[in-house]
Amino acid sequence: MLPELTHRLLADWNGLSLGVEKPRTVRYLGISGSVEGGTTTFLAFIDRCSRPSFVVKIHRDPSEQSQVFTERNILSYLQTRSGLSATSVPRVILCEKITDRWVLVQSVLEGRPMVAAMTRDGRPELEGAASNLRLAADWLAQLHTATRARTAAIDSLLKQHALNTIQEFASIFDLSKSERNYLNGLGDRLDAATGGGVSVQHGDFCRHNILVSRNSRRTEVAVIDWTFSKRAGLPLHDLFFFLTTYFLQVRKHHGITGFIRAFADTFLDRNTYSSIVKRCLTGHCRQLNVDVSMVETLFAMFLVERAVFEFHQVLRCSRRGGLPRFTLYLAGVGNRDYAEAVKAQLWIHFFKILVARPGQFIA
Amino acid sequence: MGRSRKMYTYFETVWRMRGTKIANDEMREFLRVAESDGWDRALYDYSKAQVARNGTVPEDRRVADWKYLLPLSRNTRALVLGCGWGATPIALSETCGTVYAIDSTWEKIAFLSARRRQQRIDNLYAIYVRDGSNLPFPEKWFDMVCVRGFRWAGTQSVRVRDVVRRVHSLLNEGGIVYLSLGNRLAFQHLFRRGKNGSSLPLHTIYGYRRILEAEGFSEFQFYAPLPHYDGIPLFYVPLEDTHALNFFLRHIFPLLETVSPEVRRAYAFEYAVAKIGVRLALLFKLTGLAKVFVSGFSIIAKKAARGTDTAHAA
Repeated sequence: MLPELTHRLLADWNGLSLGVEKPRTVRYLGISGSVEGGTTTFLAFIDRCSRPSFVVKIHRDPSEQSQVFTERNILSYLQTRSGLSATSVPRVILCEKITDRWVLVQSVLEGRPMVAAMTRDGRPELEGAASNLRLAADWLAQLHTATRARTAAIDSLLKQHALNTIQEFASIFDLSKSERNYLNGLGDRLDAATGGGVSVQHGDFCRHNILVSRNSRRTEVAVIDWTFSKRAGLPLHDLFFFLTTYFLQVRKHHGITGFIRAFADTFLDRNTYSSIVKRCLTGHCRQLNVDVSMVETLFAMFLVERAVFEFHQVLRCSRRGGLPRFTLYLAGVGNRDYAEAVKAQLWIHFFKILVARPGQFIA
Repeated sequence: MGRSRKMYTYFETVWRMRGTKIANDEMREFLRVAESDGWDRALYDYSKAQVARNGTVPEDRRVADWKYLLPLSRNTRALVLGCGWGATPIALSETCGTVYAIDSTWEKIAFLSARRRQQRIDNLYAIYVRDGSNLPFPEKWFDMVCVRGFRWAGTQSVRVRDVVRRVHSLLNEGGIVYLSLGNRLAFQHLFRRGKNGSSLPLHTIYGYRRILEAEGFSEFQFYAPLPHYDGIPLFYVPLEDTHALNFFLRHIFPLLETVSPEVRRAYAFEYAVAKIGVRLALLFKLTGLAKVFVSGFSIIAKKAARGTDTAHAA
């Protein structure tokens, strides 16, 4: 496929506006990504350029073309928005079917993936974390401002979608009576939670998709991998994902205990790190005009959405052979058989912990 | 206890006794489950037990991501030598017109057959051969041949040159070969941490190039599948493009810090050695040496057109 794509690009090189002369050679560096992500990415190096000139994303499953179009549409839409730097999101260069696969060719962004350090006691290093959380929150605020929408129709659609997700969550996972009661209350509180309007949601807003470049004058943020983006998402979803995964990726302790501890340290326990998280959340609520009292509701909804999303991702994986390593690990820990393995994930654990510790959420 | 749980417990017990390799009797049981409960269930039980022992997932779709580097289409007739757990031939069957998958482990062929049947794949043929000397195909029959983990001979050793020659004869003019091969100078071997799991002797990148050239191949592309050539590669790094190599070492290699502590633990030694090597290479501008010490290679080469092919005239 890549030889055919190269041929296609070279045939129309000047029309692609890449800003470099038509090359003689193009070589590709492959990055497979996660199996549940469903895509593989190739960075293209032309002639003697020391940096990649464009990025090729390929969906392994030919039936996932809707995801290709969604990403293309979101990126094209973002390029038109003022208030969001055009260099902070990829530009779509080409979106076409090459042999039997849809490919998305995108521009390359400057920067290196956001770095996070860990202290000896296994928590994120505080000064770096505060800076990173601020960068992430500020960028998301810009995204929200640039793409904010609020109409009665949108509110209604979003609420209906959220209620459907809650219902699906309840049907997939084994929940206790108190957890079901909590879910019922969640649905009732959703109207107030969308007061600040909705905006584009990245869907995978974590450190390795956030590129940071620093010079003497300022720090720039760029965001890649919009595979799971959508035009309208509930407020704070991306920030919650960033905060949850930030500690999980730098944690010291292994296994399920390590994950639960990282989650509790971030959102439920009082410590210096969770204070930073709380400041970040409350500051971001001000930026988005979201009532701080709604944060726990939105967080619970975030966990529900992620649980359902990951369930479907893993289910797709299972049909094609090869569950993600982490799913296999959790299934082993929980001694689950095959039918139950697709439900082995962290988000349901986190939801249960949140419900089990009422009134302890930090915000 | 459910049937899958019994299967999992069985595998876990056996592995504690016998180590990592799955012996024939376990394979037969695995096959029985694949037929009765489904290929995915059998593979799940096996994979779960591997992960529980802090091992790696045996295979998933990413193992065939190299296919995007090749010019494949519905007109391609492909041969896969060494079918693994089926991910590679099945991935190729989604793109190519016809795929023949060969293996000298009968149970692997039986598993692939079960998988093919249950997934309703009708352009894939799984064929058992005892060894590589008896491939049941005419010359110049294939547009693409993939060699990955195939056991070429029962008791006698086989030279890489003989394998390449055989592949050459099976390919049409302009046909493509994809080879996944170990590196004789892989740093794991230098530290006595790795074993040659292949039935073929190992060579260096220069050795493989010489052999391929001598046997009538050209237009070579050498990639380093990382972290391991015979596992699930997460990266395919073009080894003869120093810019891409530099970029990988400076910008992408550090991302390995972001993997989970569990994965870090599984690759602790390799990562520690690689980290030191990368720092030295960048410091002394020796990134070009990376191709000498990587664990293995993904090699793509084209059968030279008639007139440039002098290998068999000699």
